[in-house]
Amino acid sequence: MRYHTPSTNNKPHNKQLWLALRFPHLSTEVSNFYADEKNQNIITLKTHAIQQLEECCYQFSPYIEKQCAHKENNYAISLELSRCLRLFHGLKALTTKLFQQLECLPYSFRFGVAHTAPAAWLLSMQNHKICDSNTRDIFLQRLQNIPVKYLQLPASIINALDKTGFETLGDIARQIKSSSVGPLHKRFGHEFSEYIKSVFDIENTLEQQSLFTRPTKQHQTQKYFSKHIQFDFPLDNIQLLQPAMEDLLKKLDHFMHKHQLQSQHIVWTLFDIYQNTEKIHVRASHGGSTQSKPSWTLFLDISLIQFEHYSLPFAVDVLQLECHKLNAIQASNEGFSFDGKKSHNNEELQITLVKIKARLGENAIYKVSYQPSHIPEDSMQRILLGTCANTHLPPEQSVALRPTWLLEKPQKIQIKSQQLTWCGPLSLIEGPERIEGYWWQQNCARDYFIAIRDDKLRLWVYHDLLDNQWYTHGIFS
Amino acid sequence: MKDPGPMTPPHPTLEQVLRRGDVWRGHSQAFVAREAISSGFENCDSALLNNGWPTRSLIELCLRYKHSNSVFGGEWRLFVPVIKFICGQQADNFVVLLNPPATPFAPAFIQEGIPLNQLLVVEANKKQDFIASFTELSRSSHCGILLAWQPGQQLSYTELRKCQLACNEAQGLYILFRSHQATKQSSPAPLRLTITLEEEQLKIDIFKQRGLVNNREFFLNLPEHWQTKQAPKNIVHFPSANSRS
Repeated sequence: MRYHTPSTNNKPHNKQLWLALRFPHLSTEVSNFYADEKNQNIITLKTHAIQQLEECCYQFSPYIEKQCAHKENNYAISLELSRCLRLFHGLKALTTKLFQQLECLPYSFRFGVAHTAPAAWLLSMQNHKICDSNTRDIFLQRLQNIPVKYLQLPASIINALDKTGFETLGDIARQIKSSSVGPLHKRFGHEFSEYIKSVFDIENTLEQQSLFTRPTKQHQTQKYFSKHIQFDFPLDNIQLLQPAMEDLLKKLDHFMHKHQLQSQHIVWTLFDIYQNTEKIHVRASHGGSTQSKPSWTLFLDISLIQFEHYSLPFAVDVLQLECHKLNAIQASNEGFSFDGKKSHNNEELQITLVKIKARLGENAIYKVSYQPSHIPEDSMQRILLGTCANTHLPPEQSVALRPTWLLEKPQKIQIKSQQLTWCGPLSLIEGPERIEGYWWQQNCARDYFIAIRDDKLRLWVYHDLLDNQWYTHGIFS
Repeated sequence: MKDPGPMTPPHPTLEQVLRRGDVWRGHSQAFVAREAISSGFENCDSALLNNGWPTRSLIELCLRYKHSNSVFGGEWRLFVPVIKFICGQQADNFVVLLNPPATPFAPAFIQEGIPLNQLLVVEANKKQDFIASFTELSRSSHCGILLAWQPGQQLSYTELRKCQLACNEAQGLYILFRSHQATKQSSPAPLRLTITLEEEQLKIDIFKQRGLVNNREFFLNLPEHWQTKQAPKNIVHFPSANSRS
């Protein structure tokens, strides 16, 4: 079998060709010094480096798998290349281009080519030249010399193999040839037998084998955006930051457009020359582009509103824009319009409200809804904008006199010279209406009246029968 | 003649000046035909130019209080019919209450027939936030009617001008409630009124209206249940008796 191009060999697609790229010193290379693997900063840097490497590899094959060794912190990427060879004119030309790109990155790597991903990883331990005429037999031959300690298996299995006298993969291959995988499965367990089968590409004796072949996963590029701008000199004025913000947001918009993504959350990070940082989170409940404006303008408007309320803690040397929460773009439905006018689904109002929320906070905008209760303060609630209000009043509530405004807390009424007084003397003109209930919780018994103040303002007052006090509760306007 | 140079803006023509909606043109009503929405009260409409509340304009309503801490004066009654009309026109027309003095009581609004799903409340207590919110909301074409209660601090002429210019940009009704002290202050609002609660009526005095020089005054009857009656006699516990039984 020759892995050249699909046109020159008519092998079925399950005959794969894998390139393993192993990065043995990634942890130290990302931090430039001896790295503590549990350090959060190192983990973040490593994650970014891995994303960078995967994006580089994605240019050559969409079939990318991550591999991590059990014992070491070796990070490896495996690429399935059999379906990409024609495009790049063969394995050698493809790997030459790929290695050229990888050499531009500050990470050292080893490589191996084989017929399966685990085998390619194992062969990356040895140095073999890549050529277009490599065959499965050659790969199997090369695997013979791999010591068992390199197998990606738990240490207990490696020790057991060592004690049993298996030193290389060749020893295991000979055992399989003489008595199949079965005895090894019994002796070293399921994990070992599955791994060995995947290394040697041993097929189970099943009819229609292709139905049971694990499909190769398509790589999904990491949905993450991060860009920064370093200024010529530190800026201490928010207005001077605006062009840089615009530029970064346009880049984010381009990135989202290219990848068909949208986001509702961005993070600005400000750095000073001493590496002090300040993060500003900007949220927009409306993430996509509108018909008239691209999404970056909305983010810019909201960011500027937030920055308006904010004094810079230091002169900004670097401005960074990050967007971690990127989602696939949602197709929005357009309703039928028989009058020829386009429906904007309140989009414009939504954007206005997003801007106001950015300025005033999430809770500053609300709707009111009725909720069934005898107690006036419990008979309404503030609800979120997206929630549907309950507007169904029971019959007894529909005819009862209710004030336009309800005070947050009932205000105590004073009694001066046998006269109720709340910012002026009050006279009762209507009532009482007895409201009582909730004896099982906090007992409530009130007599409600309409009162008129000396400035003719009509108030909703009540006499609390429990504490014998008078209160103003609402205002008729 | 001296060349004004490329940077000098050309003088506006009379036509351009007249095209602006905020240029006062004396008492001639012929020049001030503007869109207006009926207030729902006959005597109110007849007092207003174009027989209704003017759209795309700042309407300033000064409430005459006896008590300085009071922020209510029967103003809501004046706008209930127009709110219902605007909400009924289109389901995506919203009524926005900016900085209301207390929480709108949902059962009363349902009784009035105001759809709660078209009612938004925005709380902006600081002056700068209030102006920013007012201008943002008044520019939105879905904000059918904006009722805004001025925050504690007085608004300056420049700030009111900002609000007025923002009102020109959309099609809704924009009402700003202010205290009675504001009547002494100049304002760019094309329509300014005072409202006074009386025993059985609501007295409305239009003291500035673009296109008219004379003050106009009219009265609205208060609802029946607001009328002063003899105090209820069955209040056994007033003022100090313990009614717990």
